Amino acid sequence: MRSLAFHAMGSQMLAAVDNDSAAAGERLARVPHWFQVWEGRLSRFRSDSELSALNRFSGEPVQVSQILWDALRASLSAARFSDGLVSPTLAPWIEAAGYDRTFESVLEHAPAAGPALAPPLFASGDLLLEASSRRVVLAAGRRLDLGGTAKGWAAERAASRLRALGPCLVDAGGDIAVRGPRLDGHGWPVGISDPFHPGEVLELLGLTRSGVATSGRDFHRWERQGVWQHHILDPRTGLPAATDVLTATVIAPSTVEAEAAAKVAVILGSERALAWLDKRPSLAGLLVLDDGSVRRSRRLSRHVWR
Amino acid sequence: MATSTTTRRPSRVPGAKILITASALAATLAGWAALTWKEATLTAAAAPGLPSVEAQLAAAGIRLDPLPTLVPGAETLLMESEPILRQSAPLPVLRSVSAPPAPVTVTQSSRP
Repeated sequence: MRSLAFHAMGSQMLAAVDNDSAAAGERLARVPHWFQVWEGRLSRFRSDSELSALNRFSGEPVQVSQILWDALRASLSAARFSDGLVSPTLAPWIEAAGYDRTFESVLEHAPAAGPALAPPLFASGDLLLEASSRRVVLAAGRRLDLGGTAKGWAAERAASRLRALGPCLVDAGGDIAVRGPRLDGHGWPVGISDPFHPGEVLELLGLTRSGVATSGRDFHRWERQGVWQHHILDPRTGLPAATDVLTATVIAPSTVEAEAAAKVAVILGSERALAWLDKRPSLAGLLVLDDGSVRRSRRLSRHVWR
Repeated sequence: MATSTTTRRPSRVPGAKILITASALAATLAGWAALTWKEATLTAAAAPGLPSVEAQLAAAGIRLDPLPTLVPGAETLLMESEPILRQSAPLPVLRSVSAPPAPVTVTQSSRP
């Protein structure tokens, strides 16, 4: 097996292929470049990104690249899949919470107080996509933040490109795409990190073809005016979600779905999140609560390493 | 005319009762003695150093056939029944007890 670790999109990345050939090594070496290109298109922290340009031209039709087009479609899919709890148009409210620059910068410079804002609600008219011309219209005054959806999409895209070489895994900062069981017939062993004991694993999964992602307020958080803030906003209030879920890990058919479902679990809180997960046969999850307890959805055992 | 009167006398013989009791007692004692002698004889026959019952029977030309059985060939049936028992209660499949592998990676909330 060949693997390559690198840094991109503000996170640690890993790409692995169950193939020892030189061709696999050469292909793996190109993965960081792929992420570099995607980040250049999709980052809201870079003023020269295509996403930032689209945000500047809100209210006007803009023709976008295939990369941004695909990522926007993924974000709309996540919004529908999550019943609107994961929205791509929350950028103004995330910035109001203080997350108006890269997370490293947020930690270095205490953000100023943001304006009082009305709760944002994503509407289908906020983002219109015209497939025939690949044109996009972002409603006036709205700004996009693809956030974790972009990482999940990138993990999926990279894994799809590597699949021709053999079974593969791509980890985009905790959002993981898996394609095919390994050549020995086993799944890929993926650990669920324990937020209370860094370096320890709460559960070992065996994944063959799926996506897994973790969202939480255990790391991406900062203090503003004496109040702890984090980046997972509840679109019903426009404020950081305040529930008993510290971290949520979800396994889903795709990484984009897994990432969206993990955010939903943090927003809903443990009781409603478990009911939400159990209603959806393709999902399974593990929640770590503020009090240190661990809750598992009904179908998690299907994915645990055996 | 002479008148005769007959007086019925009891037919008991003096000492008969004592005689009967003594006879019964003697018979009982004799029986006990006989039983005690027979048991002592059997115990002596089974004691070490004495010929076994089979040897004595063989010397006397007596041959003992196997005891009759209710189910002829019961030993064979018992042996044949063993696979049936295994079918109804199969042995559990042995599981690998090797340690789980180290994870290739871990999922956690995103961080630099």
